[in-house]
Amino acid sequence: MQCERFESRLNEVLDARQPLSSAGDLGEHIRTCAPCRELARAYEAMLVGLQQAEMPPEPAWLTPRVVSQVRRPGSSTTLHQPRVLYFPRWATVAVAAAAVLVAGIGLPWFFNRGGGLADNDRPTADPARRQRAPEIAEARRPPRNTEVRSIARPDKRRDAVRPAARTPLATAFLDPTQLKADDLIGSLPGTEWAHDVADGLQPVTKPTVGVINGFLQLWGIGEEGRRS
Amino acid sequence: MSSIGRRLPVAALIACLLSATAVADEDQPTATANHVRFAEWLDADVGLCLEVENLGEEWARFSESRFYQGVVEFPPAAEWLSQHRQGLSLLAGEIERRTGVTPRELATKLLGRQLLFAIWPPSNPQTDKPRALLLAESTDGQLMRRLLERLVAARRLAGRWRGRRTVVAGDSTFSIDVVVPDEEQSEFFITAVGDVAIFANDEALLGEILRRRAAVEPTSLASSPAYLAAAHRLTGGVAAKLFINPRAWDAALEADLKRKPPGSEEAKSQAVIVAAWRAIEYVSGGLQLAPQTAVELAWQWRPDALPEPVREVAASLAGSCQFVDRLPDDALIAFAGHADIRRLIRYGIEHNGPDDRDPRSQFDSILFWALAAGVGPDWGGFLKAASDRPPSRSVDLVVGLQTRPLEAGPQEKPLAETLEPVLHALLSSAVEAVNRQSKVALASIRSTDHDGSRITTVLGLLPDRPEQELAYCVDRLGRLWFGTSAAAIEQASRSSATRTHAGHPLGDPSGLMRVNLAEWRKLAARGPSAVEFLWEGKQLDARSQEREYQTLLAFCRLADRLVVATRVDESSVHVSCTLEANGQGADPK
Repeated sequence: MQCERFESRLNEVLDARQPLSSAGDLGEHIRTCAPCRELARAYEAMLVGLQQAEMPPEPAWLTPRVVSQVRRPGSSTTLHQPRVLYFPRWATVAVAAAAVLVAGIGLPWFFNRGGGLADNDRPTADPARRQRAPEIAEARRPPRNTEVRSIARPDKRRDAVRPAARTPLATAFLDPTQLKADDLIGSLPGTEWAHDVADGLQPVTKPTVGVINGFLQLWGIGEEGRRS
Repeated sequence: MSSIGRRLPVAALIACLLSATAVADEDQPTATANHVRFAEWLDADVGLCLEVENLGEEWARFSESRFYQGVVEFPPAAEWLSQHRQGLSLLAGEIERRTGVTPRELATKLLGRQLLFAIWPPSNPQTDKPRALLLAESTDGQLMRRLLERLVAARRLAGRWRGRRTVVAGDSTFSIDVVVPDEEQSEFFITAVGDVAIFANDEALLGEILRRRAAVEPTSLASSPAYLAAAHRLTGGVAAKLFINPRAWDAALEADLKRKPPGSEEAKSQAVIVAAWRAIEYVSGGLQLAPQTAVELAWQWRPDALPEPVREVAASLAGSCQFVDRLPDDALIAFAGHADIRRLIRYGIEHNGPDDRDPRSQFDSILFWALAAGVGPDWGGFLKAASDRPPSRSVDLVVGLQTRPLEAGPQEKPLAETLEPVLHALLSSAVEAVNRQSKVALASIRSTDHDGSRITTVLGLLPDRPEQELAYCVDRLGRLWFGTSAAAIEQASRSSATRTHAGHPLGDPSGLMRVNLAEWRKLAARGPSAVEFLWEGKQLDARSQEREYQTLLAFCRLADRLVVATRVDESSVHVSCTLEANGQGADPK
């Protein structure tokens, strides 16, 4: 086997969830080619890492929120427009405070609270993971003394069901349960005013973040078609 | 596997940051003196434009800085890095596999010379998407072309390559690859011109850029007055600059306003925002990485076009703050600001309709606002280490307020002078009451004169801190000072205060906050007890206190000073945040 063919063959084997040892041609090539051996190791390590990673549970409020949003009179969100970007309130505050762009990229990135149809909230398509969902949910459930954010807040403005952002792609990299930015920002004086400004500037911030998202996905190069 | 795809851009950024330490050893090509500015290829109707110059070189300098080292070693950052080290290296490897270059090369070579990212708002926000463009001039043309080929090949392999088209611009013909990201349906158009890679999400936009490049238009973003004014506003040496053209977004904001229910609170609030937005001429931002790290943001507006309430708020904040020069350089934290509260109160009274309630039932609030009108417009304060004190009283806090007469007239006294006898009488009564109740002379009050200002000190009033002084002073300029020691107040209120400040980032700022990390280091070096006031009341155990102490030490090593300054005038705001490292005490160890 030649190196040019090795990588695509490796993909075929890994896509079929087969161990490398089951593919004799790969094993033979690995024994003689150090770069391909390193490549195979990297792939394997990545798969192992992904298998060990836990899929977050579907939050209890997700379904009512989605249904409510779809049914809301005059809502611009319909089932036919699943990719509309929304900002959570804290993110829009941050975006406004940093004058639109800098925070538009940075804060949603770092402080995504998974309030909407974010990647973390998607039900897994993997049957094995679905089977393990209750265990995973239990493992990821916050301790009892941890404050669990409720969708309903006393503030009348916040009572409105507000889908959160499908914010930039970095969110999967950070553990949102450890981040308290919303609490911090929400307690600052003038927050409500900042919320109003942030809401008002959404026609600027939303498309900006959407476009940046698109470019980031382009650079993801996306091997979805052949690898997942 | 798609999660890797989603993580990849983040990982690319993080890996680029982390790998930059090694860049310092390399010779980084810099932009040539006659290089074309990308802004000349763009039309002036752009909505947002982000430009980065010499990222590779800037990053190399930044990675040598003490701030960078401090951040890497800062406990929360170090902990995060250690938790994600495996994932980061996996993803860095994945980037290399996909693009053929290391994250370091990606940042310092592909994006290393000149980078521009621009967005044009959609003409119809309901149906259209914004148009966007990414221009990247590489320091290594071959590497850039290789990377693009690999990117297109990967898209082709994933079945998301839509073909190749040609565009004629001037005398040249360009091949454009059309690709689609994994989770997007919108197409991206990619081509290379010399050492410049061009990405756009609109074919017509890409063609327009190529045509503008072939025959430079007389009018472009680079020559637009708003863009020039915005660039001029920033201090020199910024590595990245941001320009927002508000006019390009007007239609989107107004369309959004029309969708709000007429007469609703939401619509009213939005109307003010839209009106304020329409008054803005530009928004400008800048980022400097080295020799000091700084972020700045400025925006300019036409005062006559602002909604009246917004204009009043801006006008009340406009001006320089005289307290800035009263802040000692060696204060741990110093702050000062300017706000004309009286102007705001008058505006509120004049524009609020008559209140139906009986004024006699609102006596307390009326009195409060009346007194508030005598406060300001300047205020300031600082926290300063007191070297001659026991650790439990290791710092002094001083707060100062400028006051003025409640009524106009040359003979009228500032509010502070009016209040001073009242305050003195109240404190005297309190001291007498404490001593009478305890049957011992626990508390005392004394007054001394300094340069015509009387400083009054009270001792023994605080139950848990019998040795704690509380002092106040009204100086000759009508400023009211409160503090935790007479000596600190005396220093602050002296009319011949030494102006030893090392210059402010924005000249005469309207507001300033300065954190002297070098002084914090000195204070912390006295031991944990000198800074335990920071976590007083948190009821931390010894181990947690030690952890807090170590985190504080690490934070103080990041730089020498953190300075946040604002400058507000009738038509603009300029905010800057700077981390200064002067070299003294630079050793982070």
